[in-house]
Amino acid sequence: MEVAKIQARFVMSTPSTQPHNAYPDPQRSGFLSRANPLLIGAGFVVLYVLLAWLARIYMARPFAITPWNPAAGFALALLLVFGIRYWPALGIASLLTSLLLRGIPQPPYTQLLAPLTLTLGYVAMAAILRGPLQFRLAFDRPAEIVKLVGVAAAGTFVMAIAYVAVFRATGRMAEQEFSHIVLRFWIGHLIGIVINTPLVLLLLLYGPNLHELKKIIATWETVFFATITTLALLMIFGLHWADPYKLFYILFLPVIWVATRHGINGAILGTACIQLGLIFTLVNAQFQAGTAVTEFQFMMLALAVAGLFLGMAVTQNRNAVRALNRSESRLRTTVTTAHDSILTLDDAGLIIDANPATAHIFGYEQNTLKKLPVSVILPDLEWQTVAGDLGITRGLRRNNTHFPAEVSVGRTSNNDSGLHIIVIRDVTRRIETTRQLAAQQAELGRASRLAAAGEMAAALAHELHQPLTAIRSYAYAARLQMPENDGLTEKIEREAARAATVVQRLRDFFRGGTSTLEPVETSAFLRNALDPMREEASTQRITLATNAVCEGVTLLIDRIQIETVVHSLVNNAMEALSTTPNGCRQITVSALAQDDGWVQISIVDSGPGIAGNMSERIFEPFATTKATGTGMGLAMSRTMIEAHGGRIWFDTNDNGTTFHFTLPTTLLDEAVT
Amino acid sequence: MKNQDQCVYIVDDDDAVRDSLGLLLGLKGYRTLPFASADDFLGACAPTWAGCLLLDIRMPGTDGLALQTELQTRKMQLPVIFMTAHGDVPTVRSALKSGAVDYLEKPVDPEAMLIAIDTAFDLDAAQRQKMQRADQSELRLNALTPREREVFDLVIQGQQYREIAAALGISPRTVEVHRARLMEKLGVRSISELIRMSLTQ
Repeated sequence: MEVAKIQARFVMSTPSTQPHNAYPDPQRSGFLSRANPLLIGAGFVVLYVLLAWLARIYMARPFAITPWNPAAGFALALLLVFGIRYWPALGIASLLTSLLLRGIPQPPYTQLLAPLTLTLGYVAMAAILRGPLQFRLAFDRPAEIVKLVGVAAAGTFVMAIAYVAVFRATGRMAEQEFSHIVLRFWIGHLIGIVINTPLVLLLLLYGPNLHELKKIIATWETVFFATITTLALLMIFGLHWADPYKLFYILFLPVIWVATRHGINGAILGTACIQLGLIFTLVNAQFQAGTAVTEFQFMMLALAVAGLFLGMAVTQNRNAVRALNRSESRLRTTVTTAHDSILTLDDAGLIIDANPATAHIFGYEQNTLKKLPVSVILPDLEWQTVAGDLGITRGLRRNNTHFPAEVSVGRTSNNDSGLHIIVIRDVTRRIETTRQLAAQQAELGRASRLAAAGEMAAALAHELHQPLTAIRSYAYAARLQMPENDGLTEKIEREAARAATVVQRLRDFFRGGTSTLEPVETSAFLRNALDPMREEASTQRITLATNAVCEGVTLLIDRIQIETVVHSLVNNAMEALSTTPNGCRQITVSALAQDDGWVQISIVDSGPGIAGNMSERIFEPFATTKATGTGMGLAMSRTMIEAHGGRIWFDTNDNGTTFHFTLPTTLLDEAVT
Repeated sequence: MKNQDQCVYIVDDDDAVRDSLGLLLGLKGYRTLPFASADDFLGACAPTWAGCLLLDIRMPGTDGLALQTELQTRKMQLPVIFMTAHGDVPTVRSALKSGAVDYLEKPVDPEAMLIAIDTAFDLDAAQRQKMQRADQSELRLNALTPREREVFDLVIQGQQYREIAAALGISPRTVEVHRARLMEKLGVRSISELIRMSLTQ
């Protein structure tokens, strides 16, 4: 359970913004989950003691204080990674070390106090780092270096004073020795932490995936690095031609080089190597004075911290570049994949960049678009003044055709560059679809109104047929009672019958009823059709005239239907004349026999003509300009005329309107037979 | 010219239609009896009613087609002339299929109506006469003895006396006697008349 938490710490501490594989996932490897807490503790104790024993150089006897203490970094790493509850392991390890290196001192209780001081110090540092400072085990930001070095510097300083004070209290230390021993303790532990804690964290991170670590280590560069480091150490300590202190800076070269090449990981590994090399050299160069080693360790500390910061900067820079590249590539793909045209303009309105869709939409080669002014393809766009959605403007293709373009403009947030991004969408199809949809809906609306009208017509027919039956029967009865009535009752009967027929036709029209053709002589037909309208015409002071009536030509028509058409057209003409001054109100009906066996009837009025916007829809059902009109008159007329195989059309201007329609004659029938 | 016991029964929910048709037919010398609904008519009608039914198809309550069906159930043979203000083909077809004499579209043409009524009257009269005759022969046949009935059945099948005598196990002379008696009872003078009578049965 504890182990799972540790893994969680590693995982959580790896920021999600990191590029993939920046750190291996310990959870996936399961390397920590397989470890037993006791095993970890025991392993730690063994390693700690071993390291301390190896590092037993320049010990300030009898206190066993060395200027190099790699075990310190190891101890802090243990508590950071596995938790403070491992403090007993640390306690045991430091007690064992103390026994091993110092034997049993006098008085014996100092033997317990010293390890206790160490253990308390490490626990305190680990607690501060894990708790309030939120130290990230991934060790992936400069801030982590600052936290680690800061806490270690303060912590080890306090520890040094406390630790040395224990021995001093026993009175076994000279007064003048005190500060010197404290300094040695301090630098030994501090550098041990600064160099080795990151190293342990790194090894634990890469432990499950040595392959990753090998990529850094197993190269010729490592050999090269080892060579220069060795040469540098030889130059500093081996040649004796100059003061080693003055030449120490040479060691910066391999550190800078490895940190630049491999980032933070390189810096951690590199400084660890140099530290080892330095200690090895110091020991072998027979530097007898522990003071000199302490001085070199301070320089080594500066070298390590500088190396860590440089490596961290390099790593962060690389990650940033990689993230930028990915983001850039994502954006680039988005732009090239888009179906919309995406342009980049400079401040002068010249196209800097255009995606493939632009070339496709405007019909250019992609590279010929560059350096063209945007006005070449969007002539009406005022792109400088506005940003955001610009609505629809005119897009101009290379072949000089236009299309409706929906345009939006954005400005890059980088103020110094001043680039404009323009997104253009060809909305021809959308507009067309919208228009079709509207037309379909209008059509649907008309159809449903027609259906409703059909229902109404059927109901009306039913209701009217009842009184018409009664009228007809009463008239017939009246004729039986008063045979001498000048044909009045017959007229009543005939009109009732006609009314019934009209109603019937109306109903049949909506039901798609058929018509029955009969031969009718043209002039008689026109006379019959127009006679009922003459009285109304004269009331309105309209001259209703006929000319060229095609006497002798026999129409083959459904008389009632065509009469309805004539009535409808003449009624329209009379209404059109209502605003015409008296004396100018004229309607002329004429019939003209054509060579092909058809008769063309024309109804001319002297009214003001039909408004342009109305003339397109005039034959559509429910299109009306009249307050009281049904909008059915012309629609029905056209249906009826077309049912006869004829056609209906009109001419209109300011001086009046003429409706024409053609009707079949018996000549046509004979021609067929 | 018109049979006095024949009458035009007008069934229509529209008052004016009933009134005007009644007036017209009355002036033309027809007896008429108006009903405002099919149910009124069914409540009043009797099998002895003669003439024809002038029936509106679409009415509130029981409609014309339902009334016609009900009359058939009651074995009333009154001919039906339908009237409709709707004139839709399926209604017309089912009306004519179920035995309507004619079919008038509103507004009804009086002349066409008069012709239809006369046709219906003739049909009605013929039906009644036939029924009457069938009733009479039924009565007479009931007067025959069982043996005479047996002889009658075989005679109308066209069998000879000898064959009849063999079939019934009696002598041809007895058959001759039975035949003479049954012809007398039925009031027929020849075998062919006898066979015609049996066909109206």
